[in-house]
Amino acid sequence: MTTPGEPGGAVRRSGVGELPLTGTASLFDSGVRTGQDLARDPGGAPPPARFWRRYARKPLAVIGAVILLVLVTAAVFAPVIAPEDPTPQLTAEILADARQGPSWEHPIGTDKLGRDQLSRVLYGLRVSLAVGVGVAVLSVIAGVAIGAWAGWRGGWVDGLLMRFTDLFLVIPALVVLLVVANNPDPSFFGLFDLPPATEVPGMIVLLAALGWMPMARIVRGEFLSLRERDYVEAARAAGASSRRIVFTHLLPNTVGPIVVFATLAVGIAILNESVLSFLGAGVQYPAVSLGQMIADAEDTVGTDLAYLIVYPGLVLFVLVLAFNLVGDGLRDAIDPHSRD
Amino acid sequence: MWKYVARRALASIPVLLLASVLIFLLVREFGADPARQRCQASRDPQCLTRVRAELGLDRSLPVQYLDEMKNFVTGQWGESQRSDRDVSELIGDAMRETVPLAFWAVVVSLGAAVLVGVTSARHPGSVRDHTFTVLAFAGIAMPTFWLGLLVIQLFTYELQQLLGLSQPIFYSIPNPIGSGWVDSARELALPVFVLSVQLIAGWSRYQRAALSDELHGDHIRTARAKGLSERRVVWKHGMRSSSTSLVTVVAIDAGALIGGVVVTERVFSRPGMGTLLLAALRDGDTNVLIPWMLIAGIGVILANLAADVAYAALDPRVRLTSGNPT
Amino acid sequence: MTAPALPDEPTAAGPAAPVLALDGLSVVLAARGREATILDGVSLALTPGETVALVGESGAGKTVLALAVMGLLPDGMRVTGGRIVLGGTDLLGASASALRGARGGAMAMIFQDPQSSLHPAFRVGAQVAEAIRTHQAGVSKADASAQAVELLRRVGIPQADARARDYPHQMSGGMRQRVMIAMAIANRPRLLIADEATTALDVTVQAQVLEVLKTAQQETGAAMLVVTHDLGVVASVADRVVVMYAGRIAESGPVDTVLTEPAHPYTRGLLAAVPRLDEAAPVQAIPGQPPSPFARPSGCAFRTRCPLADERCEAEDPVLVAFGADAGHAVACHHAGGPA
Repeated sequence: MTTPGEPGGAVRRSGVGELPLTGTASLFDSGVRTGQDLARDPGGAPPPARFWRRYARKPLAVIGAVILLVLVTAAVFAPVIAPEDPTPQLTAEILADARQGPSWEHPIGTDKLGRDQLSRVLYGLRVSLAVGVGVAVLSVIAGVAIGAWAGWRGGWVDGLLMRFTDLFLVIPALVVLLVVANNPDPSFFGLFDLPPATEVPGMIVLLAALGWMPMARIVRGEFLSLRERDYVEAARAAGASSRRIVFTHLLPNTVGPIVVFATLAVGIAILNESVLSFLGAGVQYPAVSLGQMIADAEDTVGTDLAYLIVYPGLVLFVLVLAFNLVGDGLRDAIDPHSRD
Repeated sequence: MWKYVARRALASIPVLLLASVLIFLLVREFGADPARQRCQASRDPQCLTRVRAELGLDRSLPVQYLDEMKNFVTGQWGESQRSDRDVSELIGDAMRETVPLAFWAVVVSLGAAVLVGVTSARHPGSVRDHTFTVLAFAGIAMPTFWLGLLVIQLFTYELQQLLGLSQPIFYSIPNPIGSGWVDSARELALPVFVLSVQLIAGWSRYQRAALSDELHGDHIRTARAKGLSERRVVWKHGMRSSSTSLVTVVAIDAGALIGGVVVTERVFSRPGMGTLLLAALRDGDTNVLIPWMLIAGIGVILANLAADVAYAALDPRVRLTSGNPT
Repeated sequence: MTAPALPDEPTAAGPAAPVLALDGLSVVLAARGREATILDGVSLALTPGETVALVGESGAGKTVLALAVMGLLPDGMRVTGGRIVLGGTDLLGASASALRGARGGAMAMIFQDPQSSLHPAFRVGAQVAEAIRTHQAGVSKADASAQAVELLRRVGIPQADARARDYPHQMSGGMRQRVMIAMAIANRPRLLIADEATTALDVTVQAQVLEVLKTAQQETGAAMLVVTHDLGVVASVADRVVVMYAGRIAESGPVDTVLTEPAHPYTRGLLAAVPRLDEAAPVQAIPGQPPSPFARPSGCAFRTRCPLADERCEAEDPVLVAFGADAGHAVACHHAGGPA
């Protein structure tokens, strides 16, 4: 539950939060749970067999996993599957093929420059997945580091770090991302250059910089409760170093919530990247992005060519949905008490 | 209660100051260099230096910051570097467009989320509950801009084709009383819907979880043991204690709402704060950008302050025991 | 202040007409496709002014019995057989609104944990007043508040008019439980159920709250069902005792008889497990655990822990039959009164 009367005031009331640009803070926390609750079992995650049995009991989670498998396979083998080059030299021949409806040659048609839409969707899927996974990994690293530090040290370190985290949580992220992504040569206070957001690595760094907060809160919560456990006390009494306790006792017990966060973070990052691309602040040619494809085809809305926005959007939607379903299934399988 | 509100309001002041510094650094240090944006097309090698001096960018950062803040606080927001209009006027006009959109989106989302969440929590495992769960997953995964485009396509093209109308269906809705209200409702309906979908999806899950926790609580059993009607048990006793969770999550989503407004205005080509921001970014119009960001920051802080106050009003334990910060 | 009339007001029928009569009550729990019998054919009657204590270990079905009477069984449990008759009305056949009218009206219940049983966000006076206004049509808000203050005064809350404006968290546990009692007697119920009402309180406060409960009962002339595992409470308030084991009545009878001459080996075990100041005899816990309702042993459910168990106990279910010289003493045991 929320903690009433917490001193942080404006932004410290609850254990919720993540960073959707246009969405809602409740995805990571569709229950009123905090990180503490996610690992109520002192033993951490259940043994694999029981875990999968629990996972398989939820039809939505299984559907999500199957869809995800198909989409990831399609993305990995895109160079093999894709009928054509997604970003070909725009020859007269290709331009002549513009805006063709579905056919054997172009199963979902061609865009207004005559490029094969299916190939572009497949390559866009690759970019989406790369961005999503990259952001999730970076967010986990940053979030775990900050959360673990705060939760392990406690006291003023915790207070300061959490205040910092809360500040990031209430920032209108899309606005910040737009401002930064608008800068063609970003740097960190002139000290060193940052990769521009027009390319995939820059986009990953940018999104992760605003995506780590829920992870920090979850890990901090876990650590705060775990470090009071008897076995941790015992290890400390036996003279184990902080580093050893953190890495051998605390982190392994936090794996469940971390995995759940990472899964959900992929979906959010993918959505965020697509919004930025749609607004023209995302990855640029030659990289293909689903958001960019939709923006390119926006002028077809209101005509019979609007199917050009349907497929990229559908793939985007289904991809994010699959990650969310899997994340939700993992959460329930790790902690069956977490809902209902 | 008023003491509590006053204390919270005072506590927001340092947050506001910190936010202003961060906003300034964000725009100046991480945002695009407006001088370079202006000089892109120029062949004058002196262009950068000249524009920097013109915009005052050649001064030190603290001086620039203090100058910006003084201008903001005294209401001298200057002119848009692109359109030569007063920035205060531009932002005022934009707010008049955006506030109704955001307000109705929050009202609609809250209403729908509470109804859906309460229904689900009262009948867990029912067909309705499962349907709402699936819809919530879909709503959360839905890219807002794509949904907006699909909705526009539906109303400007598909329905018109399907029904054989001569004009887009939206203008076919009669306005017999000729009232401006009908016109603005007609104009707002689709943007509000698109902006609300993700909020409803997220908030309803939240409401469901919070209320279903409450409904298993001992005090709810007491309420039932008193012989209260189920409606009173749920809507008075259950809602009162679960509403604090919803208040919190709504406040946290204030920032996300701003993002949603930007996207929605862009998709529907509506004037407003979002459109103004995108234009200012494109043009490197920092005179607009910094006041815009400060207004947004104040909005977020006010939303959180309002949530604090609502929380305290709903839960006496907060307002009566929070005198001793730990 | 009058309780709403039940259709079948006992008139001159005398003390014999029971306030509450349970006849063969059975309750089943369904979980994960399995069913377990929680209450198995329990019959019981309470006459006006009488106090009956329901004792037994956790899981014996005492609280389930109380909740079944109130019609507040938790999800998954349902009554599968028998009758619950309150003042002549069959509660199981009653409409939902008739049942609501009886709850908090003719019958009222006090729960174990006064901390969580009161609504945290409403003033205690308002919570008592709500009980009044729910059952007494035409009482104005102001009158109900005044009555609530009067009730709070009667249960021994000092400065009741000021304390009525307190929230539960501002009161001590004993005071909160007094509020619960005030709420329960607000409509002069004919049946008062106290479910472990003093268990969560400090020992020193327990006696005071018991006293308040007894006084409240005497003032209203209600029959009282006291659910407890504390034989000290039984001795101080009860007229009769009903000992439950694994969902059935093991022994019942006048409090003096059962506490001094227990005939069921289980009752003897319970008594032997009570620490005493006046005897040198060591405290003896009953070995083993009560059976899971999902795996009830054949024959007598207690035989797995019983020192007297033999083949007959395994083969044959003992039934509750009259025992000994004292009226109302009944035991369900093949070896009733056997060697201790």
